[in-house]
Amino acid sequence: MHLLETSGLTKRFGGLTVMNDLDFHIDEGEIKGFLGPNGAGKSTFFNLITGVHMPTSGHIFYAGKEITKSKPYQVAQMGIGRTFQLNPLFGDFTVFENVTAAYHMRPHSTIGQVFFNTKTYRENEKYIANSADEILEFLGLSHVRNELAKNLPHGYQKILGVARALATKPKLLLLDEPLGGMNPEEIEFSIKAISNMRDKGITVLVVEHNMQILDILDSVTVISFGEKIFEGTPEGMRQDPTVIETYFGGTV
Amino acid sequence: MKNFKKFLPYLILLVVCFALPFLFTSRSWIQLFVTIVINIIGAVSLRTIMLSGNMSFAHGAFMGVGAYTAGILALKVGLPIFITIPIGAVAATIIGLITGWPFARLKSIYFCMGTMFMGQAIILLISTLDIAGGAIGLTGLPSTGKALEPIADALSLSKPQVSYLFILLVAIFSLAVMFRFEHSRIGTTLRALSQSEDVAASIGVNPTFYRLLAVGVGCFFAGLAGACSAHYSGNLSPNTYTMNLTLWLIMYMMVGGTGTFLGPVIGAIVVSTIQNIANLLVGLSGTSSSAAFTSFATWVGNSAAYTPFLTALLLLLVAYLLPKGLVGIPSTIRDARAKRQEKKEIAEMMKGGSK
Repeated sequence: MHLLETSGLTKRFGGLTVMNDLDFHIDEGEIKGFLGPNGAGKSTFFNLITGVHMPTSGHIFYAGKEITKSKPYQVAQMGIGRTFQLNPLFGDFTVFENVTAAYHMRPHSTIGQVFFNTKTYRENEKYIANSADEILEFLGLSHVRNELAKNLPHGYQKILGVARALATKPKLLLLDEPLGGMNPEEIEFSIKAISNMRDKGITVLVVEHNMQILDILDSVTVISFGEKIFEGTPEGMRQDPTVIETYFGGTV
Repeated sequence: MKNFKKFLPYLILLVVCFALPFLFTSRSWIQLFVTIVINIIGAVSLRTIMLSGNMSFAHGAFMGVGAYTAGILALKVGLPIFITIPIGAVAATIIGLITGWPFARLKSIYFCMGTMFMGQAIILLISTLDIAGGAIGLTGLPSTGKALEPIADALSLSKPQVSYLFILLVAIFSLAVMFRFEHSRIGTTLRALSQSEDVAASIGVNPTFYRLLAVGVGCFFAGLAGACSAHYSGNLSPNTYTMNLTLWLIMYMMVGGTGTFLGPVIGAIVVSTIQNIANLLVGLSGTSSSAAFTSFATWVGNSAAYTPFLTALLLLLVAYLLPKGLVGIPSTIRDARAKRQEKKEIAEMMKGGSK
């Protein structure tokens, strides 16, 4: 059984078909790339999985359960974390608060515990603070812990998006262009961090333009104009004539 | 020590609140204090709803639901006020949740307009009921003063004094609960929701649930405030709970500053005082023997039409000079000082450099 699977996934916006009959799967423990030129439908794919858009037809299965009609928050509660390409943040929160905001569901405190500030609630809060600090440490954000998120440089904001998604303890993490707008050092750091996620038992699906990401990928799906044109290993992709034609407009 | 400093403004406010009815014993003064305390609960509970990012324009109507429920139960069923007041609050919560359900999915101007007309509809609907006294409203409600008479006699206080103290205790309870609510994980989640619904949903926040939770808590305390005010004055009219009331509640919040818990409290104190100064002076002049004071009070009473103008002026001043509201005065001064200091240092550095 695949961790995430789509069959015949199709999305039309009016007369425009942005995703056509896509069969896709990712297995547990994999780091998989979802690649394609601009406008190929990569972000749409993420939005379909996470319930932001409803597919026109087709099905999405996560851990054997159909999630085609689930709402974004339900998908998140089932263990699919995501980041966004344009990377919106809780700008008026500090870096630390951005991460702790993701802990609203677990450990769970009842409304009564919250109101009366019981021991359980305080212990939960302590656990949340420690756990959030661990994530910040893992992603190298500890030194900006108390800065407002909106004041961070762009690269840090991108990493913070990943930290927030990690805080929901996802089984599957969807990263939408995590390297976009980063400088070479940040790219190197982020690639290492993404490959470390495998050790934490997190399956990662990453949309990216930057081909440096290929080094850490286990497998790749390439799409163009909403249709799958390649599925296989990164090495295979580099030599595939259809992929080369799509990216470079001819043979190399 | 740090905690103590944080709670100091609240402590000072509390001491002042308890001392007021003993410093100003006249009925007119206490009427003003009660109005202010009721408005504080109203403004703070409106801000609780606003934490999730939506401004409800039906808040005054929910104060009305609380007031009417308490009034009808007291007059037609004959329940004592200590039961009607909490039931009024619960009724406002229930009506708030039912009517809020379809609106909880809306955002910005859609939420505002939707709640605005729904609020008016609720009050209009109530005022068509015979049991609610129609367009005139209800009179002869059992008053808090009467219910608290034994306590007043035992402590040798006047009825208005003891009523005020009772409503003050209700307000302290309300504010304590709403303070906890805001400064808990739920409050954090609500503020996250107000900043970006998409991101909040991506971390598993159910937007509708959290919006409704805020509406429920906000409406509960609106109902509580409404029920208390109806029982204090002994009568209620549908004209009290119009759009106008909601607009004033929003004004308290904006003048005081929406960013902090204390903001709407300060705003309600300042703006309610401006709003009611004419009533107060006219009331006081009835018991005063000074002719000059009476003519002054009459003059202010005749100028009461300028209250909205004065309030608008105040809002303008706040918007230009105090972006964080009245409650932000200390921090705004601090920032301005720091800036001046910085400028001075830069100027000196430049001077040194040119030598």
